[in-house]
Amino acid sequence: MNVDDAAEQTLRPFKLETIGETDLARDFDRPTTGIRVMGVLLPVQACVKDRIVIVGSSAVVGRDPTAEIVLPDSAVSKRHARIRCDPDGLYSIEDLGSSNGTYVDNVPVLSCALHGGDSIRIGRSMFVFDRIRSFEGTTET
Amino acid sequence: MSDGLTIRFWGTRGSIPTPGRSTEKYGGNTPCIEVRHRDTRIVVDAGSGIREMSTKWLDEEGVGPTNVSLLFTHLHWDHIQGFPFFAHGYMSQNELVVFGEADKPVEELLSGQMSGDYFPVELSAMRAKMVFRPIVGPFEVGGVHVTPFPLPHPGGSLGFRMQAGDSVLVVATDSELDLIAQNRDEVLEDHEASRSYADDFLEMFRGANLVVLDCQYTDSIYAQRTGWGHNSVATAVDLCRQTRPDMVALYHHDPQSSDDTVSNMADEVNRRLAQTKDRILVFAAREGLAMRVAKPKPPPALIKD
Repeated sequence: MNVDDAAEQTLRPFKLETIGETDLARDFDRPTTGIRVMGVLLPVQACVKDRIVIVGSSAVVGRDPTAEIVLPDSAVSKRHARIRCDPDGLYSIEDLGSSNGTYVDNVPVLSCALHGGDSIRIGRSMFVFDRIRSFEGTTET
Repeated sequence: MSDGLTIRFWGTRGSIPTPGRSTEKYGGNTPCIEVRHRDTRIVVDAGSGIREMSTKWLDEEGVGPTNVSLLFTHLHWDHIQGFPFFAHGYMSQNELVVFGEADKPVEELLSGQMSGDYFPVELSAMRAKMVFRPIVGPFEVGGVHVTPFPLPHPGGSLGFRMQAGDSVLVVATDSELDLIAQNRDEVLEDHEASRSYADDFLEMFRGANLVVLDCQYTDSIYAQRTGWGHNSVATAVDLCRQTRPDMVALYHHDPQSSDDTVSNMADEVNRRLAQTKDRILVFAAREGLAMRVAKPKPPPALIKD
């Protein structure tokens, strides 16, 4: 076996077709424009059932109907927390002086950077934070 | 504005900055903690996290005069390497009081890492009014009472117990507490044995709302790193049981530890504490986390499906 054969044998298990069509493989064929990352709250045990996509750079979570994310729960303050996305696409959550606190991974926070898989507790609801990619008018996880 | 203390973590990683996908949750910056009480700002250590702290302050507050007390636990490189990037140090309208170990040439060491062979800008270019104060005993900073205490670490290290009103924070990074256990030989034989510490040492931790504690190693890694100056999971569990703070933030994460490893270490501490029904909130410190230093209130019960 020459060096090239050995290299090919070593690499073979990792060839893309052996692991199916991945998001990464498909992205190689796509233009880079039109793709954006958005935060999403996935209800685990919550007063809402549908996933919440966070559009824009800031969203207030609260009981008040004017909040961007309304949680109809008496344990949620009118303006309870704010989720932000900075220009680099990094998300964070800030408690807005709520009565019952904002918890990330069970820790009571004043503010905290958010990462995929973090649990968020607001009032009597628990969500998991994740990020999704939006492409040409569609969204996919 | 809180009447007690608030804390924000800007760097939680030990030894060397560790950027990358595998460390993005807990962060790769070296130690830097911001503590606030009313208008008082205390910064513990100037690891690489201090750069982002400074940037954030400028973004939020502009260049107005800022008074900062900078407390060094010790002067190992990972705790001072961010200092040349502390933008507030270059602004003449600011005042910086630097507290460090009395037996160490703090100004000389900070200056040394900025001398021409290492860095393009000398310490003298930092135009903030800078005052160096050796730590010789308890002191007061803007309504915060600070009690320093020695920690076992190569070259020495200081812990700080800070109190403002009922709010009590203990920062005890860079320490290998097994080395000061009075039953050290027994602990070396049985790593899960209860450590016997001097009572005045344990008193530094008792009644704390939050302890920021070095927990760099898993127990198995610690067995290969004894004497390197850092704690393991078993040591953290034992200290929790003996001193019962409200919350413990595991800190000074190993540069070899991925986010998953750090999460698992915190889970393991909680699992062992649950076995003895010790109700202490233990979590891994993460960059960007800000919280009140106070007894935590449990969240409302989850809604029933």
